[in-house]
Amino acid sequence: MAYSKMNIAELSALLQKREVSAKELAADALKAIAETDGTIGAYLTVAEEEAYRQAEAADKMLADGTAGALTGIPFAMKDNICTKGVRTTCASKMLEHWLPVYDACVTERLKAAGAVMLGKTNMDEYAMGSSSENSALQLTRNPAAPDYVPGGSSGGSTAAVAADECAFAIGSDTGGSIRQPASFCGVVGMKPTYGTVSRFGLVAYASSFDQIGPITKTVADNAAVLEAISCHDRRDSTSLPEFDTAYSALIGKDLSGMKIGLPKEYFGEGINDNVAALVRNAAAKLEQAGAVIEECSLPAVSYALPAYYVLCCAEASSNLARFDGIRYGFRAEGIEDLESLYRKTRTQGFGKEVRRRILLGNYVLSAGYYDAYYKKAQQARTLLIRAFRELFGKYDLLLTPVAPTPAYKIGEKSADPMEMALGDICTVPVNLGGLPAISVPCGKAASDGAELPVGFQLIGPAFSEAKIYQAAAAYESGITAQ
Amino acid sequence: MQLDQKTLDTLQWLSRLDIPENETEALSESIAEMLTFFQQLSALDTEGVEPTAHIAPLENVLREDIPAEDRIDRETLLSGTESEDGLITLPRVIG
Repeated sequence: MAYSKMNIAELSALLQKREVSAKELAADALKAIAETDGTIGAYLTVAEEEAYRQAEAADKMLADGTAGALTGIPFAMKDNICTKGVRTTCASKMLEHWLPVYDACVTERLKAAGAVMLGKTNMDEYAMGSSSENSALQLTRNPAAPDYVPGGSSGGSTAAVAADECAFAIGSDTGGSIRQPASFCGVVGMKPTYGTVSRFGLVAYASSFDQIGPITKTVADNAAVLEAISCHDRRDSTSLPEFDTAYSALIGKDLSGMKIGLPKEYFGEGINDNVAALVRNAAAKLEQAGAVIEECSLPAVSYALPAYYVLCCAEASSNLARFDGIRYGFRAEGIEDLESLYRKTRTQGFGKEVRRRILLGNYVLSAGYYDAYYKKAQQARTLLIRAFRELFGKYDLLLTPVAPTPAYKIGEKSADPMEMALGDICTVPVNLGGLPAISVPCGKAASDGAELPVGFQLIGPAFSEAKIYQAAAAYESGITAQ
Repeated sequence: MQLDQKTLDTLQWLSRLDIPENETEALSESIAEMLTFFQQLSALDTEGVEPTAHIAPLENVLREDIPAEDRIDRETLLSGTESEDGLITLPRVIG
């Protein structure tokens, strides 16, 4: 049986019927990694011992009747999420050998659910980037076309799922870091409502945007993983106290009565024709499923990108101040005083893009510039939130591309951070608004002999995950309204 | 556009890092390019608009002052640091 090609629902059914054990699934997945990952480079660490230990625990749960939907399912974790005793590097030299002394909330939840962690995945250093090329440790290739980037920053996680090196993966999304690589690799990626998945144990980049979410092969799998990891957590002060987590509740229903808006700004200049056409095809399928599709306008997206980059760099400059050469492993050598310990460690430990964002963040926060940049960007954020609120008074969901283009070639944009940043235009407005949004594969675009996956994005108001999954699943199954 | 040396020096000090000499020109240009991009925001009318620092309704999280059960012991906390007798070692602070 080709277990590694199966999705969570299929594997779970086999486990429940005792046709396969969690240990056998772990062995099969580790074999798939050994065979494929030499080419793909999705994993920074393969945690074989840990995987077998967790598989043994999962088999006990299956035997004593306490198993759930994720028990025994092999998965991969983005390497900015703490895993006790398994190194957590953020793909940075600064944390290359750092062993967390505790588990992130998400890690705890998945362990408690009996899921089996195979290892930690590559990413842009500290999640800063959109192609995973900013990793200081490894290059990851797109499984659909090895000369192309997998997207980023959760490129290792999406590549691992796309290459059948795990049944699902966990990513984090600050400005599109789950959705964009999901689109580039042809898998399903969800960025949930801000505050519904605990950030405890997620290495902070831009705290007011960072959100953890699932990457899967199917929409139903995605909802099942989100149900397992979403909760209130007292250790994250931004974790919301109360919300409904029945994310799968509407899957299978047609879309009668649902109104979906297509903001015209997302289909204009700079959007690749193939991408626009594939997303419009998806709109037609959603219409067949019963939704009413209407063109609408969201002019506020035009200032989302500068506002986002001001705020995320500002937050990053503060969050990354903790990497001082004292507490997390890496320390520059030959140091005589404290000031040079800080400066030399941070100069040597951080990569170019991380240093650039810290410098930019300190610029926009410094005296004399604060009002013109930081405060202005926060006000722009308010205006964007209002614009979204107004649109969600008329529409249940919005349908847009995930990225202006399909994946690009390795090295094509890495020398030009500005061009790379412009690729985040479709995803960052969602993070500014704290909204949930999903990326769902909707076809392939031909480019230079390669067939590159493309995804569409469905955006909803806060706490509309169940409705987003309903529409995404209706598209995926090709359901037709009666 | 490039940043002047004084601004670059201030930024390096604020950031507690040094820009390697061979990166100075490109980095300075790249930062200046981003700052020009940020200036698009100045065209936006934000008169009377409240800034949003955070999307979540943030409130103080309080609890009784009782030691938590999941405390991490000192030895574990010091793993990954240079330490001696349970204390973190540092280079001299006062010159």
